[in-house]
Amino acid sequence: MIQCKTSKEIGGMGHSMRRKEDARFIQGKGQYVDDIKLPEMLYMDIVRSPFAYAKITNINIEKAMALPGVLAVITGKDLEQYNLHWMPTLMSDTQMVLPVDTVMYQSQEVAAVIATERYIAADAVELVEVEYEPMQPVMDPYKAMEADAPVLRIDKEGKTDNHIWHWEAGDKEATDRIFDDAEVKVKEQMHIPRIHVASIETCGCVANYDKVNNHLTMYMTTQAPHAIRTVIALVAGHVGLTEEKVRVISPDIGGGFGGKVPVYPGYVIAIAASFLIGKPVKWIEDRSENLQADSFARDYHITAEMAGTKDGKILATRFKLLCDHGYTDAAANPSKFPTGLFSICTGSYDYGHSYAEADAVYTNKPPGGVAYRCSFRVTEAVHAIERITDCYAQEINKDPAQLRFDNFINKDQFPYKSALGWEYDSGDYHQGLQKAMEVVGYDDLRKEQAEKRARGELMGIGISTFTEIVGAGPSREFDILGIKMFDSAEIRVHPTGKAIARFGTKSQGQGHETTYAQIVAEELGIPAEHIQVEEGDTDTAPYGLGTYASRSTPTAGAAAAIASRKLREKAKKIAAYLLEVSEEDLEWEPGKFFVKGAPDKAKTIQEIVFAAYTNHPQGMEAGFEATHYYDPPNLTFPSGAYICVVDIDKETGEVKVRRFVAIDDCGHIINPMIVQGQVHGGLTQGLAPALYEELIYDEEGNILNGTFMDYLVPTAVESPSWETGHTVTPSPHHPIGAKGVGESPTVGAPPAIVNAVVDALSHLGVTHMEIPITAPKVWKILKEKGAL
Amino acid sequence: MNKFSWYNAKSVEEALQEVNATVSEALSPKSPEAPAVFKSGGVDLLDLMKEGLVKPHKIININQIEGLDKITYDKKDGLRMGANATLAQIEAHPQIKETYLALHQAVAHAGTPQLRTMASLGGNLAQRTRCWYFRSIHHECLRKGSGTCFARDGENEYHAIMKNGACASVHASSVATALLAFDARVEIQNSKGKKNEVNLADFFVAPGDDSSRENILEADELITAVMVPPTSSKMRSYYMKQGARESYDWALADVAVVAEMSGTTCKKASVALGAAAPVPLLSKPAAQALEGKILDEATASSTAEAAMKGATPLAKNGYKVPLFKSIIKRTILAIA
Repeated sequence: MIQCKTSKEIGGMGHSMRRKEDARFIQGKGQYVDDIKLPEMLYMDIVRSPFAYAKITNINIEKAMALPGVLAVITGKDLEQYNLHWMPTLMSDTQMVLPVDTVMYQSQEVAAVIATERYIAADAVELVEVEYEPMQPVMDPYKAMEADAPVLRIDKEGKTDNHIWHWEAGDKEATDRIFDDAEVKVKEQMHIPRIHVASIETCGCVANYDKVNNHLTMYMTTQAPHAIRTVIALVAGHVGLTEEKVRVISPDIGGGFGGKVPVYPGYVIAIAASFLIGKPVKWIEDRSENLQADSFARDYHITAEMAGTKDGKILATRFKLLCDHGYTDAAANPSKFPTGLFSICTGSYDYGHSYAEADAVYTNKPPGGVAYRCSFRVTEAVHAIERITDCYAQEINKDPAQLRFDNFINKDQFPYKSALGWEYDSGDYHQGLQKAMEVVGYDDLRKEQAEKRARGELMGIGISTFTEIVGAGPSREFDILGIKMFDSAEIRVHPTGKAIARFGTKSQGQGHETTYAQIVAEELGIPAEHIQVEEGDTDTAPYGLGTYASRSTPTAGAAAAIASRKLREKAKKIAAYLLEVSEEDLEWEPGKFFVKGAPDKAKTIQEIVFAAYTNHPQGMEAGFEATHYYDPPNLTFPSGAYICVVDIDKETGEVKVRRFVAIDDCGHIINPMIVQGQVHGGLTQGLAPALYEELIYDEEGNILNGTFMDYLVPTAVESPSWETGHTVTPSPHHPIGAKGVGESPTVGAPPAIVNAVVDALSHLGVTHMEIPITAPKVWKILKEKGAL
Repeated sequence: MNKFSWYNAKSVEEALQEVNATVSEALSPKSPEAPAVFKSGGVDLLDLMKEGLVKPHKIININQIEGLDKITYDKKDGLRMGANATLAQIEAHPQIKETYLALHQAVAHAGTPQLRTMASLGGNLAQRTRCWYFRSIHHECLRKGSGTCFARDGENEYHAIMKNGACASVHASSVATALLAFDARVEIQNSKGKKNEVNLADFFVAPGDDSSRENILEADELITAVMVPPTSSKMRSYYMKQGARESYDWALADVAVVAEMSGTTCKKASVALGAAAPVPLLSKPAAQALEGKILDEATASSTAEAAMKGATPLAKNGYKVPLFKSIIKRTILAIA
């Protein structure tokens, strides 16, 4: 049970307050970008490439232009005149907005049609005649790295291969030495396949350029409106769109999951179209476009190794990665971290040596690498460490839970410096796993498994005890395109004691309108119900880097607490003035200051705020407002202990998740109900790649499952009844001790599921299975191992 | 998606005067210049249009034809379902659930509640395959007139394991699997007003005979009803389906068994397999393996073996053979 410091009426931290935003969502009153209709608005639709790699020899727009209602067909050559045909990615790579002569992946934007009606635009797309000269695409990242592979990015001067970057961390020599001498070494090759965020709302925008005032208002589905404003100014400043002339508004968003952080070509084309025509232009992707061209995640090939003693002490780990980014590195990682925060791969275990290296490569797949609900590449890291830990346990025939207990970082070792350099803030991994084992009934399950195994039935128990790394991040290391990754809060309390609070983040379902209000309520005692939270409008909200990587609570949430505390300091001064005592004589309880020893002599926060506008002490600044830009001193390190129980139908190969217990530790909890909702959603998005999702391309670069009919997203039917719980280990450096939770379940669930499946098959000699674990894969391995 | 005109047909006769192509013809090189095709629930047609495979100039909406969605049942004549009856209607029909359990089960497992509310019986039988090469505008496959089946040597883990020599696609209708086991007949009306009845088994066309179509329908023909013979109290039926995803997915394997029992012995049986071949299949060897036997584990196993004898799995779908065996066995044991 969570102890609340505030009353239910105030609704501070720990209360399962109903989400304020849900009233409009459940009544269909949300305002999404496609709901925006402006006078004289035009519609854009995009001609896309049928080929994965081809020269464009001609684009004939005559027939399309002849269709009544078509105003323009924009090609790369048109944009070239304004030097708008290329744009930077958030990783400082480059990407075509529209191609001038070559297409590099299937479904790439080739031309854009602007018309007076959406239907006319779609019809005109069919009338644009593009002649291609197809070339053989490079789809396999390993082949792309071969010396004789065709060089794909010939647009980059001097480029002689398909290599993008090399990254490494850790002490290679020392780690190699440990491996050379180790009693036990295990090694596994694993692929984290390319998947899609598949948010229900696709990407889209309305670009509204006002010629008279030389001003652009950009309504768009973005998780990071301020960063987008800056990027627009960087890309289009030379044509007059300097940053003060740009306003980005991110309305309600129907799911982002990292897919709505990057800038896609459609946005830039819509801006260019509105700029040239002088009218608002709407562009909304359809489902197939979204699945086939945007928002890809993962696609890491990982070799993971672990060295240890015969009795189960982990000594070192090694990781080698090949990262397939497709046509361009379109990830949205902090600049100095090309593999994101993969270096959390040392996990929850106490050992001294690790070395990780990565190479990124171009292929003819759509640009990829968005951080799909995984902070930055933490899913890949956790999969690698949690799988290889199980491989080690299996190799030395030790219970995987016991092996974990024997290697966990102890709670008194925090702050803990990991082998790859992170300083973990806090954790109690023993308690988490202990609790998960009790809830699931671990010992009984092991007995049941033994009995079933004797009868030839397949049942497995899988554990994942992960450490997340979120809340990017401290300005000394974290920036995107040079902009430091702080975040912000601005609180204005009105004379009657009600407030509006604005933030640099942007909720896409996280429930910020409720949780931020609860943080302010906790600190100021103003009821959360009377704190209106606003985000997403760059003209009104303070600058911030947006919502992704579970960073909102660690950064903007902290800013809310500190801005509130600034106000509380001011309130104290006013209260002392009103009560005619010194500040030292006052004590605070949620909602009021009172005189020590005389609780009747008190001023409520509402009275104090009113005085700030009506009767403030002379010499003090009037009003009751505060702003804070929070630059976190460190990241936060949420953790979790997940246990999954699976039954495998030997005859059909079907894997059924019977139970899934998730004990999360995200520090102090702001709203338990919202945390539980986040965990439920995240677990389902963890189940997805474990058992169902993978984007499949053929050798010609055609996507084979580019619709929801073939790209299988799990539904409520496939999801087990998630069993959730928590332990609370506050972050010592965060103002309210919170850590963030949004991505823990997506990160922690896949290895728990895979470990359970491998555990079910381990007696047959199975040590690893690649995700997604489909029935055919299970059948194949059973056959190979002679179990059928 | 192209621009098209819309025509609300008020009668079968009127609809048949307006149409000039089947959906299969409309996506083949033989398509008339301005194809006019039928739409009932529109589930498959809309997909084909969004995929850019079919570009009808005119859509003849037959969904408003009065009476074409009627379902009637009596003990003597059996069941008659109008072609416009939705899967939701069939699913909710109490006598179908009671008398034709396998049909109820097959319908209830198709698509999602939303899709079943729109999908018509006739459209379900006439839908095109879900083979991803066929559904991709980027692949000119055998069924689209090229002479090449990409699935045979390509990504074929969801494809046919029987009769797959020419084309490895599987028929998408799971409703057909159940109807086939019940020996259903299809009523087809042509533009001259003539009504024909054919066995459902003869309604489907194998790609070896004609790869451009999946059924016998001609441009001027419309399915008007599906009839299922009456059952006796001695008849039992069951349907099972296995998909890659439990809900909202096509079958990797589905099986319907109808058995006439005498005590615990099966006197007469029919076993239908869906997602095994380019057409829904009635397995005679399986039926023979059941007839005259007590429905027990041994019979179920030998029936499953008989059904899969001669299967020709491809490089990536070998698992479907044991999968079918398992589903066949379980379906039989569910009846026993």
